[in-house]
Amino acid sequence: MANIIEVQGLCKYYGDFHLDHVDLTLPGGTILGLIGENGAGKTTTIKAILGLIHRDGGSVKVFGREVTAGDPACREDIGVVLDESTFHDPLRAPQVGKILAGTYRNWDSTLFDAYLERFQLPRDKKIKEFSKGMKMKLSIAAALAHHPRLLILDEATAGLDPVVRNELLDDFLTFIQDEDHAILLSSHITSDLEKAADYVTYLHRGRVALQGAKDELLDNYGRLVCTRSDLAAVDSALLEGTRVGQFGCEALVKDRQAFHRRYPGLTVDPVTLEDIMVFTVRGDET
Amino acid sequence: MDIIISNSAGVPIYEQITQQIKGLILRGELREGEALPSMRLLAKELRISVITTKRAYEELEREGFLTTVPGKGCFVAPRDLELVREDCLRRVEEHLSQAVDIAKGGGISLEELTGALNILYGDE
Amino acid sequence: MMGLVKKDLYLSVSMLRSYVLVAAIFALLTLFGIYEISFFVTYISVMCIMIPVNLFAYDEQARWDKYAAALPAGRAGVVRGRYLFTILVCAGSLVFALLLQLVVSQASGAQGQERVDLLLSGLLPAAYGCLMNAILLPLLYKFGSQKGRIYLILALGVGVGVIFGGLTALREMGLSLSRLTIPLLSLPVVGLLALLPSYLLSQHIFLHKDL
Repeated sequence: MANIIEVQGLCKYYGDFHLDHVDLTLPGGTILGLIGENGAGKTTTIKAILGLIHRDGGSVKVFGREVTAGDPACREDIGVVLDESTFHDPLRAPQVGKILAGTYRNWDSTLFDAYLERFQLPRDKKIKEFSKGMKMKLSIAAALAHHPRLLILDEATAGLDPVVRNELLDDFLTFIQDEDHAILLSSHITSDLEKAADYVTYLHRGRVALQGAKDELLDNYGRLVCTRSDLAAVDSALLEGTRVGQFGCEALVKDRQAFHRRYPGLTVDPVTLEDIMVFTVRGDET
Repeated sequence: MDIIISNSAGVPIYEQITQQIKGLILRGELREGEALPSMRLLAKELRISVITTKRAYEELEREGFLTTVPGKGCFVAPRDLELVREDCLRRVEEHLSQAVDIAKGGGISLEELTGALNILYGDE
Repeated sequence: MMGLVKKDLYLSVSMLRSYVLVAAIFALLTLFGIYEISFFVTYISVMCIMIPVNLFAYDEQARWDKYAAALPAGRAGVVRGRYLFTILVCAGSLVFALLLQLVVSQASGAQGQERVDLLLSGLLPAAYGCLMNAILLPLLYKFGSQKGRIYLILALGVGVGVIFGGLTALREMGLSLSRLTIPLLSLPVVGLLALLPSYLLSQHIFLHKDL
C-alpha cells in the first residue's frame, strides 16, 4: 500500500496558535480519522495538505508529490469537503453540477444526479433554502461525483442524521476497497471514526497527542475504575490522565493487558476514542 | 462462513477472528485448500478495519493455519488436524489441572467443579 | 476554469437582467429627452464594476476561494476566471452601449456630429470598466470585499464625477465629444492593456495568500 498522504514535521505559526511538528501518514486503501477538539489544528492540517496555506516548516506530500500553493498537483484526483465552504446561496444543485463539469475532467453527471436523488436534494430550490445538512450532502455529492482517488473531508458528517451518516460510512468503506484510494476524515464525532477509521491521529493544541491503528488503540488502552487508595498504589507511569471523583477514581491505562497482569485485582474496562481523548487532555492539564 | 464479532467482549477483535477461524478449521467446516475471503472483503463485511483482518490473517499464517498465494489470496493450509487437537487437549489438561489444584485447596467438590465446567462450556 | 466562468454567469443572471432593463429604460428616457445621455452612460459604467465586485462578495460569503483553490484549475484558474468574466462584462457592455446608442441616435433622428458624439460616448463605459477593474481587482484580492469597500466607493466616485460630470460639462459648454475622438477610441484599448499587469499582480497576491 503506497502512502497517499505523507506529512512530516508540519509547522505553522499563527499568532496565538501553532501547529507543531505534526506527522501524519495515510496509506492507500485506508481511512485516517483526524480527531481533536475545536481549535486543535485539524482544519489547519487539512489546509496544509491541500496547499491552501503556506507552511512554516516540514513537508507535505500527496500522491508522492510535494504540495505547494501554486501547484495543482493531482487535484483532479482529490475530492474535497471543507467545513467552512459551501456553494453560493443563489445557485441551484444542477447548476453546481454544470459548474463542476466544467472544472473536473472526470466529472460524472449521471453519478452526481444519482447522489442528488439518494440524498433527496431538491433540484429547483436555491441553496439559500437548504438546511446545513443538505448543504453538506451537496458538498459530499460534489466531492464523490468526479471519481476521486483521495477524499479529504473536514467535519463532513457533522450536520447529518445518523441514518445518512451510517450510509455514508458504508460508502466510504466501499470507496477504500481499491488500494489506490484513501480517505482523510476529520471529525469531532468520535463514534463515526470508531466505526470507519483504520488509523487515528489525535491532535491537541497543535500537536499530535496520540496516533496509531484504531483497533490497536482501542485494544491497548483501558479505563481503570478504582478507589482512591487503589489509585495511590498504582505506578503512575502506567496511567495517562486521572479523574478523582467523590465516589471513586478513573484513569486511562496505556497497556490494558500488562496492567491486568500486574494488578489483577483492579477493574480495567474497554475504552472509546472519546475516553482516550478526554483523558489525554486531562493528563495534559495535570 | 459465519464470523461474529462482539465489541463488548474484552477480547481484541483480531483475536476473535483468529479464534473463530481456527475453530472453523478444526471442526472441519473450513476444508483444506478452501479459499478464505480477502482481508478487504472481510473487513468491509464485518465493518472493521482492514488492518485488523490483516493482523488476524498474518497470525493465522504464522501459526500455520493458512497460506497466502500471491495474486490469488489466502487458503486454508493443509494441517494434521489430529496433531492440533492433541496439542489443544494437552493445553486444556494443563489448565484443568490448575483448576483442580485451586478447587482442592479451596474445598470445592468435584460436582461443583463439573457444574462450573458445564456452565462455562454452555455459555459459548 | 470555464466552470468558474459559468459560476459567475449563473450568479450574475439576476444582476444582468435588471442591468439590461434599467439601461434600456435610461436609453428610452434619453430618447424622450427626459434624461441626458450621460445618465445612461454613467449607469453602464458603474455596472461594469459593480458586477465583478458583487461576484467577489458572493464568493466571500460562500468562502469559495478556499474550495476553489483546491479545484484542478487551482489558484491561477480562479484569478483567470475572474478576469475573463470581467472582460466579458466590459466587452458585453461596450456592445450593448453602442447598440443602444445606435438605436437612440436613429430614433431621435440625430445627424452627423450628434450621432458621432452619441456613439463615442458609448465607448466610455468599457474604458472606465476595464481601467477601474484593473485597479480594483488586485485591491479586492489583497484586502477582501469588506475592507476593499472604500476603494469601490472611490472608484464609483471617480466614475460618476468624471463621466457624468464630464459629459454634462461638455454639453453645457456646447463642445462636441469628437474633439476627443482619438483619446476616446484609445481608452478601451488602454483599459484592456491595463488589465494585464493587474492580472499578474492579482495572481501574485492570491498565490501568496493564506486561505
